Amino acid sequence: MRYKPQTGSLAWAIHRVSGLLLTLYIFLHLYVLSQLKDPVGYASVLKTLQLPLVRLGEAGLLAVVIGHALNGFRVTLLEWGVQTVLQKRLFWGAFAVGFLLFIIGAVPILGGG
Amino acid sequence: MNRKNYTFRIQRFDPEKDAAPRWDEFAVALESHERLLDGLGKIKDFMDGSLTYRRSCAHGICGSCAMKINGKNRLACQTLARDMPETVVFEPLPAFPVIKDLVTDMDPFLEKNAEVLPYLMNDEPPPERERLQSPDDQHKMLQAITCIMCGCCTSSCPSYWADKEYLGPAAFVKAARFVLDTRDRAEDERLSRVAHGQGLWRCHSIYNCVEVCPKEIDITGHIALLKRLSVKKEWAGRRFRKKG
Repeated sequence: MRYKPQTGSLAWAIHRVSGLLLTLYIFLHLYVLSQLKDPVGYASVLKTLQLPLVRLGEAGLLAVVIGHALNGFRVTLLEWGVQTVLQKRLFWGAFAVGFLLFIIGAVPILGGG
Repeated sequence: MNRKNYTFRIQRFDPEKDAAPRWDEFAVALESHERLLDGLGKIKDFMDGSLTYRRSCAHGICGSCAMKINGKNRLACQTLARDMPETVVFEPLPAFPVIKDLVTDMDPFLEKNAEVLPYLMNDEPPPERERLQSPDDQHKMLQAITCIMCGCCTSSCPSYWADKEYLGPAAFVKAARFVLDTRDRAEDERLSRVAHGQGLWRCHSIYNCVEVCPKEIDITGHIALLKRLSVKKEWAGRRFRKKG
């Protein structure tokens, strides 16, 4: 189905994809936790977590969590009765706040700051 | 007069001849004040009489000429030529079965509307003249009563694309129209008909419906209201059951 994307449908698509990614991430997270059985396993997991690619993945995870959480907050506000005319401004507001939070969080994850 | 040449690219489908939809192009000259429906009329009258589309009032009241124009659902009679680029692409309303060219089968859409009991229900004895309403009470449903049931909203909704049994935004606006009507007494029955998995809870607040409504109805706002009322009703029912 080809249909002109709008701000609302963009927000929905981001919410769907990020929700799916977070669901998949939970399984990955449980798998990593299951490796922490002894000091050797713990050291091995910690070493893996220091790899640049994993750190990049963690920064990506932060972006997905922020995006999903803030858009979920936006949808909740709108369904509580915040006026529909504000839905686009709420999205771009959430985007700006989310971008700021991402920068604040991603700098230490990626080893800067 | 400001005359401009347009290319109308139109999706065609004749079930008696075509195995799949095909595309036709027509060169149409339109004045800036003319609507796209005028252009379709010129094609049908002077270039290809087999072009099929619905039209009736041509003034944004009947909703017949709803179609997908340049990727977005709109009324052809309400879209001015001067607001469009040189190439204008016409397709039938998405997700509705195509009967021919730009004509879709509206029955599935109208059946959803019937599910919300779209008529006044009040078992109190009728007054001598009429059931009166104050201007303030009428104002509550002012937006919902302007719906012309063109189908632009429901056919623009990704939730409807995924599930054709989903009631869709137009049916919710119709339900809200009676829930907001102070003369109606069937709020509980209507809410129970819309508050289910293929009803209100399938709306993910995507706002495509609001973007396309030719009457500028705050459709998602009305859906959110029905959601809140349904939750209230369910909670009140639970408290009641607990006490009983």
